[in-house]
This record gives sequence, C-alpha cells and structure tokens, in this order.
Amino acid sequence: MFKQTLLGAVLALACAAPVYAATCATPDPRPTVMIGGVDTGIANVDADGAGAGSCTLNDLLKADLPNVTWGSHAKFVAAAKSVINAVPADTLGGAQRDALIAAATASDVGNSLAVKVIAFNDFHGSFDTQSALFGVSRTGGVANMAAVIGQLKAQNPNNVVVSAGDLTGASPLASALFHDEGTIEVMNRLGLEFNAVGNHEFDAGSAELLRKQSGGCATVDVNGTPVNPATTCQGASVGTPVPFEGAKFKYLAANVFNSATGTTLFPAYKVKSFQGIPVAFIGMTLQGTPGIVTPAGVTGLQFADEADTVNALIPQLRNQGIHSVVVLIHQGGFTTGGKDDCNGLSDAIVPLLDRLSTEVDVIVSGHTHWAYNCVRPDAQRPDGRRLTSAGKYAQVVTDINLTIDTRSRDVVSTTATNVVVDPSKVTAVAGIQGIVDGYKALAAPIAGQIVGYISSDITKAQNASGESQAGDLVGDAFLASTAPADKGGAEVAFTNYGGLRGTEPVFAFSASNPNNKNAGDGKVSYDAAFTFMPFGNNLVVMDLTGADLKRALEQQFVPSASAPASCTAWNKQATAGRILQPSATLSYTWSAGRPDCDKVDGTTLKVKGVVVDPAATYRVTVNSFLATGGDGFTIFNNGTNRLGGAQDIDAQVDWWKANTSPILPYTPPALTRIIKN
Amino acid sequence: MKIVNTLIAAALAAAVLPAQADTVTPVTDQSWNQFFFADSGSAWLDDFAFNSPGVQSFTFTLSGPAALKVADAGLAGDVFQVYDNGSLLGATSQPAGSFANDAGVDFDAAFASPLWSHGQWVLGAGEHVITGVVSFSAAGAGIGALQVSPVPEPATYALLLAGLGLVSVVARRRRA
Repeated sequence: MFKQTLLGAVLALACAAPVYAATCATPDPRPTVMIGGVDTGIANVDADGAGAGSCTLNDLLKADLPNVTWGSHAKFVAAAKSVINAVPADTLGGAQRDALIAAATASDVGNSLAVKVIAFNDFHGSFDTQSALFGVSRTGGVANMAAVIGQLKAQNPNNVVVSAGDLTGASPLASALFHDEGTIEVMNRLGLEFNAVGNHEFDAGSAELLRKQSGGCATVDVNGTPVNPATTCQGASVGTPVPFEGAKFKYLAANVFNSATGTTLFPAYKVKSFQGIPVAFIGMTLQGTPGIVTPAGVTGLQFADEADTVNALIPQLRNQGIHSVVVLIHQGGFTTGGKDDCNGLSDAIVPLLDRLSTEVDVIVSGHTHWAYNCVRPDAQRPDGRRLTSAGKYAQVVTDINLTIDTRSRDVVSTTATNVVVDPSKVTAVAGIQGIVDGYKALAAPIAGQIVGYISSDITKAQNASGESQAGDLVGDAFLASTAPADKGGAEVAFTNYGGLRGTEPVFAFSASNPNNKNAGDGKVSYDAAFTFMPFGNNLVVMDLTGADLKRALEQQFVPSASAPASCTAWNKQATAGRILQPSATLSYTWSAGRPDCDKVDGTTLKVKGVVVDPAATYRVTVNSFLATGGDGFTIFNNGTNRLGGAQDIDAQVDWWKANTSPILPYTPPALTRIIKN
Repeated sequence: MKIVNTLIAAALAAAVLPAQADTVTPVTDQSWNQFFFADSGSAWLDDFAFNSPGVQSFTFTLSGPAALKVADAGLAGDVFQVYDNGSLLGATSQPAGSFANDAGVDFDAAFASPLWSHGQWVLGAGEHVITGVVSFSAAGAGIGALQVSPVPEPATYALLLAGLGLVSVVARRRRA
C-alpha cells in the first residue's frame, strides 16, 4: 500500500513538530544528556521547558545504545536536530544546541539496531507444567511460557516470536482430543509469528494442517473417518471464537512441495522488518519427515534437502536487500554439555550446518528435544554463527539478541540465553491459562479415569541391550489386543522406541510428580496413558516369514561402512539405537561384534520359547507407523494377510484394566527379552 | 512543486502515521521509493515476496515537468517495464551485471552503474500513476526503487547559473 504522500509528510510533520510537548509518565532522571553512551555534560532539560511531567531531552532523543529506535544513523540525526531545535531558546542556548547536534552527528547511534528473536521448538501441545530440568524443580506450563515471552518482548520493541516445528501432534489429551485447536489458540495469544513445520505437523495429514492455518471445524481425520463434532470448534466452552479461528501465525515450509503443483505447502519464508531493516525467517522440516510420520499424513507431498533449499533462496533474499537470515529448522542434534553451549554436538544438524550459505546468521533448530545454544564455527562460516535449540514442551525459551548493521543490513553479532521457564518466577498469563483450563475441563471426564495401578515408577530408560520397562509393557499390550484368533492371532508384537512419549518417569507412582496427573499414588489415569501414547496409531497384524522377522530385527542396526551390498541393499538404517520393543513372547541375543546384517544370533531368536524357523510364517503385530516402514523398518512392508486392529491407546488401556488392580498393581518384570553380548 | 494526493492514499497514510511517521516521505522529495517484485511477469509489489503483498502503484500530481528514475537494486539482472497511467513508458536498460554484483539498497549506486538495469523518463504536469512489471526476474524476487525529482524551470536555471562564475557570465551574455 502506497503511503508516501505529501499530505502524509505534512501529517508526519504535524505529529513530529509538537513532540516537545509530549508528556512522559516517568521522565528520564539522568542529569545530563547522554548520546550513544557519551555524557555530553549538557543538562537534560525538560524538552518544552514546561517543567515536571514533561519529557526530557533524553526521553525524546532516544539516543541510548543498544539502539532499538532508529533504522539508520541519518534518521537519528534528523530526528535529533528536530528535537533539539524545538527546545525553547531560553532553556537551551545556541552553543549547547550546536554541541548536542555535533554529538548526535558524531555518535554511532543508528548504525546498528538491536532485534530480539524469541524462539522455542517441540511444544507438542504442552499446556501443563513439566518435571525438573536444568536445576529447576518444576518447569514449563504454556501460561508461564507466555509470561516469560512477555517479559522478553518488553525488553525490546523490535521482537519476533518463532517456533521450529512440532507445535502440535504427539500432544497431551487436553490438546490432542480437540485436534490441537487449543494449542493454536494459545499460540495466537502468546504472540507466535512464524512456525516452521516439523514432522509432527503432518501426523494428521496436510489437509488438517492447512485447516490449522486457515481455521474452521474438523470434519474427517487423516484416514477419512468422520470426527466427533464434540471434539472440534469448542471455543464457546473455553472463551475463543467459533468456528475455530485458525493460526494467526504463519506456518513455513520451504522444503515441502505439493507433488502435483510443485509449489510449497506453505510459504518458504516470511520477512519481518524492524525500523525498516528486514530479517528473513526461512522455515522447514527435516527431509526425512516421510520416514517418521504415518504415510497417509504426507500423501502427495515431497520433501527436499534442507541445505539445498535454504541456499537456493539466498539469491532471492539478497535481491530483496535482505542480509539478515534466520533459519527455523525442525532438525537438530545432541550435545554433551549444558543448555548454553554446543559441546560435543552430534547428529543430523552437523553436516547440514557445513553446507548452509554464509548468509545464514542464526539457526533455530529442534526435533531432538535437546537444549543447546552457541556461536559455532562450521565449514562455511569459520567465524561461527548462532545455533540454538530450546529443548521441548515449553520448558525452555531461547532469548536471542541480534545486532544488525543498518548499512549492510547484516547481522554482525549475536548473544543468546536459554531461559528455563520457572513457574515460581513468573505470573502465569491469565487469558492463556483460562483457555487451557477450559480444554482440560472438557477433557476431564475422559482424562481423569483411573485405568491401571502400579507399584513403582515405570521408566522408558533402555538398558544396554535396548530393552525398557515401558517398551515391554507396550509390546505385551499390543500382543494381548491382537492375540485372540478373531483379532488376528498374533504371536509376537513390537513397538518403535520413539513411539514411547512423555518425560520420565513415563508413569509416576507418586501423586506429587506432575507425570502422575493427579491420579493419586500408584494410580494410572487415562491422561497419563494418553500422554505416553498420543499418536492414535492403529495396530496391524501381519504374516511375516521367520527370515523377515530376523531381517526386521537386523534393521535395528546401522550397517558399517564396510557392509556388503547384500546387506545394504535392504538395510538402510541410518539412525543408531532404534531397538524395537518386543512382547514377552520374543527373545534373542545380539552382539555389536557380529557381522553386518547378522547382529542377531539366529540360534537364540525365539518366539514363545521356540527357535525361529526362517521358512515358517509368524503372525506379527506392530503399530501402523512400523507397518508402513517407519523408522527405517522397511521389512514390515513385506507383511501379508494384514488385519487392522484397535487404536494403540485403546489396546494399552485395555491391558491396564485386564492386568492390574488396586491389590495387584503392575510391577515391571526384569528386562530379559533382549540380551546383548 | 505542488503535489496533490489521492484521497485514499492520504487516508491510509494518516491511518498508519502514529506508528510509522519516521518512515513517511513524499514520493517527489527526491528520495528513493522502494517497490518489490516476485517472478518474471509479476507487477511491482508493496511488500516482500511471500509476505502476501499487494500491487504497488505510485500516485502523484505534478504542476510541472519532473524526472522519473527507476533502478533495480540488490543483485543485478532484473529488468522492468514502466507504465504511467497505464501506458507503457518503456523498459529499463539491459543490465551488464549478474548475481555477482550486489548493490544492497544503495539505489544511487545502482542507478549510476551500467551493471544494474535502470531507466529515466520525463513526466509532464498532471496526475500520474506509475506502475511496473518485472519482465525478467533473475532470482524470482527482488527490490527496486523509483525517484521523482523536479526538472528545473527557466527561472530556476537563472538562479542556479547566477552563482556559477564564468558559465553564468556567458549565460547572461547570451540572454542579453
């Protein structure tokens, strides 16, 4: 919209001319005029000479550093002259006037601009407070995170709130039951502006994701099943608009293309200008997204290489005069240090950074649920650039401060801190807590049901073999749901380790632990069961040959560089540690020292205590994620005679009810299904 | 120069003034006025590509002739077709530069260099609506700017030349 007109200028002058008559509630108390950190020695007089309550010269000059007001030095000097010349002559003499203008002209004010980027990632609909992290005993809570964000925004008017994906999906019941509409609504109200898509944004499919952006009520789920109308557009009960308002922030998807049209599902980037200085925010998910979400969620979409995508956009940004570039990427790494370093950084983000254009100044990452923050040299930028990640679940917010040279428009330096959201240090934002409480009340009749009983905490921590208490529980629950002849006649069941969600302990004995969900000591609520298993995957029973059963287990291990082609042809596992969690009917021994694609000792591989016959057929249950080759387990694609089963959460709840009671609470068995030699 | 504004532009300007007063400058004050563009064939836009931009037009009324300058900036290579009241004024120059040349937003430098596409036309008195199309968009999005500056009238020439020593003497002799 064109707004540069003479009348506009006249109006601007009309607004600018009487500034000396402005009133300041708390006039700057400093005795002398400070310009760019230099004491001019000239009295900081009331700018209109009218005495107390008026603005002083310091108030009107806005000449402090770091500069948050002026998009260029010339603008500062012009405004300073206007302010100085408007002071009555009997208040500010000619020599003082000249000295102040000279000081303004000689200063550095306006040559750089301070911009604050407030970032987080992997929120996953986390309305409630979480357990301890980084020495803070209780953390998170979205209304508390909103308060932290509000405090940060107040520090600098040039601010932007961004997210690096997985805002929704794999979320607790109060969000998930209502298609994560509540998460979008609270994000709208805490000021989120840009969210890169992550893999979980696709859990419910691209049509649903587009609805989350544009609003309206949910009608069918990712499998085409009609949704319960009571689970969508519930704004009237929580104080938000009906129909669902959609995201006020912008989803970004630079590397997600509609296969039919070749266009990106959402804009590749957005530009936000601060005092006329533009900063680009490029958003994307990991290229490997299709391998870790349910195939129906990514139908018709293609995912491009992350670094290539960014680098291809750089000429376009430069051609628009943009030299400050922030990448929001749902891909990350792991570190060995604390929240504000990148010591021992490893995993997928590392080679990616080495390929990113030098124009990229800040990388806000995610996906690994890890917190780190540093200026890190890489192959393209030996001088280093800012890399951050804020963990997960609203427990941490990254406060990033950019210093941008207003002449080159480039980021010249950054500082950043990972701020732990500590509920004891802030006042929760009432408007956001109200929405959260509204959704929790709607979900309460379901969430509060006691479904099971435990005698101690249950953990998902893996032993050296890769087995876990929580994984055993799920394997057994999946088998119990599908073992009856009319339910598939399953003999063995698996879940993927990454499907075990929630923070530790995943089932908390003590009511004082937030993960107990206020169920009471030793009780398991539906809420806790859902938090542990929020994906809504269905069970699938299939025929698998004994040979394929062993090959599926071999796909747990990444082939070495010297692995023969006969191995790598079918085992393309790229991520270590993906040990399938089996039912009690399966056992085996594996060793890292055995050959590639034969890590599992076939003589020890048993189903129901009998050594597996490669030529025999076994009925195997997995969730729909694994059934379609998720996490690199492509062997499950070979399964035949498929039969769909219950939803995973229903199978789990049924298992709790059938196998536990107040007098016979669940005690996890010893971890003996998988042995590592 | 007397400039009359369209009512709607003025209303919009007034609406945004409290927040943006320091960025408002009249189109004819000889400053550069930015526009954006997307792919080849796109109209000049009022915001960065992907920011949901609208079409950018520059509307003003001149009481006498003025020079219109148009320049590409950023990376070299983009070319524009420039329209006045819907009629084609012409195309900007064929640029000698490429992606290797980045002018940033230094429009003066870009206008003065053969590396960047640029053009200049004289506008007569009356109302003008300047629009443009990017006929070649090298990177798929970019930035350019235009500048409107008065063409000095005869009386102004005389005043200017009066102070210019020998040249002004010659000028006065010829006039005499």
